[in-house]
Amino acid sequence: MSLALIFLIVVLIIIGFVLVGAYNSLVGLKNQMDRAWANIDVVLKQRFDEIPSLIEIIEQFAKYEKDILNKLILARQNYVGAKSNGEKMQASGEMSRALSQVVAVGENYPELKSNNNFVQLQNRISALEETLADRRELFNETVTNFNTRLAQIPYTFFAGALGYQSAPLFTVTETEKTKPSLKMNLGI
Amino acid sequence: MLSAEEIKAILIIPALAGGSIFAGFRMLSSARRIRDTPTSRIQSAAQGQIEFQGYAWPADAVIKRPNGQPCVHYWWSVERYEKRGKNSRWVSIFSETSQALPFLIVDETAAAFVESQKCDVKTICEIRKWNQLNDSEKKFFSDFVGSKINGFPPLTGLFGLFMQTYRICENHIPIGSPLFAFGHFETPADYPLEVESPGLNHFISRILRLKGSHATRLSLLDSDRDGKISHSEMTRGYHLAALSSLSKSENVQLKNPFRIQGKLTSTPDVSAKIHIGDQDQALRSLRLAWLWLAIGAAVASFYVYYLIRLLR
Repeated sequence: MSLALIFLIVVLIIIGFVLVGAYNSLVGLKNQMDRAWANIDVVLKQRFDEIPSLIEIIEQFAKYEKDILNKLILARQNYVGAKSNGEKMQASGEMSRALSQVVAVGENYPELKSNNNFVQLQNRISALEETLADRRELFNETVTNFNTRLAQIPYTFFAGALGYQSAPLFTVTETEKTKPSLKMNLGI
Repeated sequence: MLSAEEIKAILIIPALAGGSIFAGFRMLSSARRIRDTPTSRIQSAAQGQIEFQGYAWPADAVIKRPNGQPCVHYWWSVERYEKRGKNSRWVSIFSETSQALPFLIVDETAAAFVESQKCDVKTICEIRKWNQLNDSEKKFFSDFVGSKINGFPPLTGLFGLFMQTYRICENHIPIGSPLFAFGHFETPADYPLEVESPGLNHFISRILRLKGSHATRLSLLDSDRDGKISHSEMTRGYHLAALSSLSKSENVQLKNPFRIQGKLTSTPDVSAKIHIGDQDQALRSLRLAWLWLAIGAAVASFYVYYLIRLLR
């Protein structure tokens, strides 16, 4: 057996290990993506939990704004009922829109605007929205990495075997594009 | 019957090949992990494996090098040149590592503690011979080492010619240096902490100004007037911004104090790394992975060939 042949066999073995590494990297990226989404879910849940307190305060001062409150309650229910990531993304957009309308209510009711609990909730929700925006960017970056890797050789050979497909990005919904900024309503 | 030399070769060569291949795969795995982890803003960082891009800032008192340069991380060692014919080399005879204190990595949104004792921190290394130091630096090192080392500090003048040669190796991260951090992020129970530091706020506002328009950067940083901002000019800009911010009064109450969101550390699964610069510079040291794999493959092939010849 010549040295060249032995070297070739060793190189093939190493290539085999590299392909194992490629498979592992695809699995790792998929898990990164799932983790990034779960981290968004955490913030959505936190925002979701603030809503009952917000509704309670508004009902005290602005009980005639039933239309806006109902939209918020419906958005919250839609989030609970959402099963897939796509449905959750949509429900999140609807909730952001409903929240911004609720915050705008504060402009019409000075007693509400000066209420400490209401102001604290506004600030809390605003901070959560900022965190949500950052985490969405992060999620989109992991999705882009995953989708790019799926399309590359040799990862594309494993994608079919693992049942992996390109994942959708967390895009801004049409309702969110038209929503007024929370910061504008708070006069910041 | 195999000779002693042949037995040694049979044992040592696979260890070298295995070690080289293992090192190569480990580097590839590290590089892939760093590349696949997206960069987070500190303000909204999630718990677990994370990657930050920020700047170095002291967590408490500023550490200063003997030449007065402020740092967030600093350690040094004294080396002596030992003449042993073909085996002559520099040997470390004293090192001071007690200043590996936690420091902060800050970005435009928040800050995080870096537990430097638990992280692999890559620093700037400056090596200077004893006669290249100024008087105050010599005094600093001499006072610190004291009488612990025979023959140190070396004499100057004619007598110094007959003494052994010493050099000082300094490892540091200057304040304001751009940092790339990879590791495990956690937010303990009493966090986030508020940092009332006008200096830090001023530094961040300076950074945002530097990152603003290209015209601003050219006017502030283009020292050689070539119309381009080199990496060293940009780094110098960050250091100058940090130095000017350090002198800001600490008695001013801030409207929006900075927050320390948590700490970056290592766990059994995630080994934290801190590099000066950005992700590309952090990955630069891992580019040798393929070289190690190639060396390992070559040594392994030779070993198998050697073994076959031996056993025939």
